[in-house]
Amino acid sequence: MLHRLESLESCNYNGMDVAVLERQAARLKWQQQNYVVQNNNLVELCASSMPQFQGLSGSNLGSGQMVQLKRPEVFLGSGDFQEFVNFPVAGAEFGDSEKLDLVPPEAAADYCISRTSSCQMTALNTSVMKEEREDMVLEKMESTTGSGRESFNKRKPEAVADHKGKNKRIKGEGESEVKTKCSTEISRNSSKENSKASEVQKLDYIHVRARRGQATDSHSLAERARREKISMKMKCLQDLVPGCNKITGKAGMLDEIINYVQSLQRQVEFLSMKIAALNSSVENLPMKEFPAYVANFPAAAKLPAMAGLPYFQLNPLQKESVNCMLNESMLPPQTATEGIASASVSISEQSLSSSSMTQLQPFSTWNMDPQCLYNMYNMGFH
Amino acid sequence: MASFIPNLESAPDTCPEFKRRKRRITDEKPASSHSHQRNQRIKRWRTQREQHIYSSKLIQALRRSRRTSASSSAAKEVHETADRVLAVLAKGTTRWSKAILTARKMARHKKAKVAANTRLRKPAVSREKRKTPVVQRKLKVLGRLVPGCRKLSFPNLLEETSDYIAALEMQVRAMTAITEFLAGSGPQPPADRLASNVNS
Repeated sequence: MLHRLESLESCNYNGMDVAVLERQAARLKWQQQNYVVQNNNLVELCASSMPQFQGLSGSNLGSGQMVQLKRPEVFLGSGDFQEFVNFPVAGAEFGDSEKLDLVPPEAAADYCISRTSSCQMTALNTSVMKEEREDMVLEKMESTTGSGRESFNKRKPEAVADHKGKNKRIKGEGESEVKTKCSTEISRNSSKENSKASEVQKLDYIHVRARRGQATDSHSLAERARREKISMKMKCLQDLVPGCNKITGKAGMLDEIINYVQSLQRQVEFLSMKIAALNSSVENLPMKEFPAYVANFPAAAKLPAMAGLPYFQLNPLQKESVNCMLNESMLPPQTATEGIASASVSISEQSLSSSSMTQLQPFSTWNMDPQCLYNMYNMGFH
Repeated sequence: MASFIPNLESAPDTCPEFKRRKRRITDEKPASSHSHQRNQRIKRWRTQREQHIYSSKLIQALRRSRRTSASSSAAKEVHETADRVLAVLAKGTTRWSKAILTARKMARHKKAKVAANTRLRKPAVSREKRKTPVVQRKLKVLGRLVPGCRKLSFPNLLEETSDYIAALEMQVRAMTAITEFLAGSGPQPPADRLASNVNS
């Protein structure tokens, strides 16, 4: 057991901090009575993840043991680690290459990642590890997203839900992510105090990571989780609403969202009016042509260059129909949007007419993308 | 092997915080799958296929409604039909789609009553502006815009809004296509247009 502990510790301590070491030491101490080291997988995988240990395999552990013993002592000045040195070495258990096969790749992959978490290197029953897998996968998720500074609450369910599918990938990516994890750990723990470390240690084990200098009581954690959820959804909305990239802050974003929803609803209303005006021809629609027509209608966004078109020039033929529609119930602020919309339609009419064909023309170069319309609408007003 | 399991479970459970965290984990587990589904649904609105389905259904509905007696305002009827078809396409999974589908069954005078009541209450609310922070006010406005989302919490409202925006965009695209189709193939003097086209 000691052997594995050391090798893992040395794997982990490559550049790691005192606080982390102490955390792990305390955790190991707690676990040592409960678990029995069974598996070489941890060591092997952690070894494979660290370049300097690539040569290590189950059979090489014995030879490398002494070397690894020294390294942690070099890093760590505290007395805690000395206790590990005094543990009886269960030398006979190493080199069990058969056991490597017994552990499922999922658990092994997870061990590879859990370097700074409660390194459950000792408990190696597969069903046992399932529970701890969450820790590791969460750690992994944290490093994957790269931020490494946000709380776990938000990522927990994603990790748990997806870890089954991602385990293979985790194994493959273990190397790079373990390193990033290491670096984030270092930056985060660079000046952490011991008390904080012990608190974080508890929280780490419970899948929640508090940022440095942040309160760790349940209320603030819950609030932080709530805020993270809200910010995540705001980001999702930011992608939907055009022109929101520059705006920071909830109030401004909400303003933009409200404006956009209102403009979309007005567009729908205007279009429905138009369809109603043209509705007399609905029964005469050649429905067979419609799917082909629509199929050629690209959903791609219209080029902003279209905005340069003289969009207030109406085809005299269209003017009448459009004007009567415009006069029906137009409020002045709406005229810009409607004018643009109608003008764009009229322009499409012109393109249709220019080909001078009786059949329907696919408007392949034209699309009234509502977002582009919205941009034009904004341009007209700002 | 099996003996290790109780050992593992007993130790963490002694810590009360752990229980709380564990509960939170299970609470958020469905949320993750929801977020995944949500993103899928939002992306679905952007596909061509959805637009085709919507436009063809809308045209069918318009034809049907044309045959039945039309209300006073044809535009409003078209609008409602379009919204209804959109809500049907959403398969009633979102609040706004459910609200649209159920709102049609409500009697119109009931809606007028509710509207009158809110108008009466409005001046009282505006006097106490300082009590309602800016964000809260905007949330209310947004809640009124999205159908059926008046009394929704912030994150849920945002979620509904994102789905609603995606659906509205699809609706605008589809209806534009329909108008162009109608205008292109409309019997409104096509011969004249042809003549003018040839000349121009």
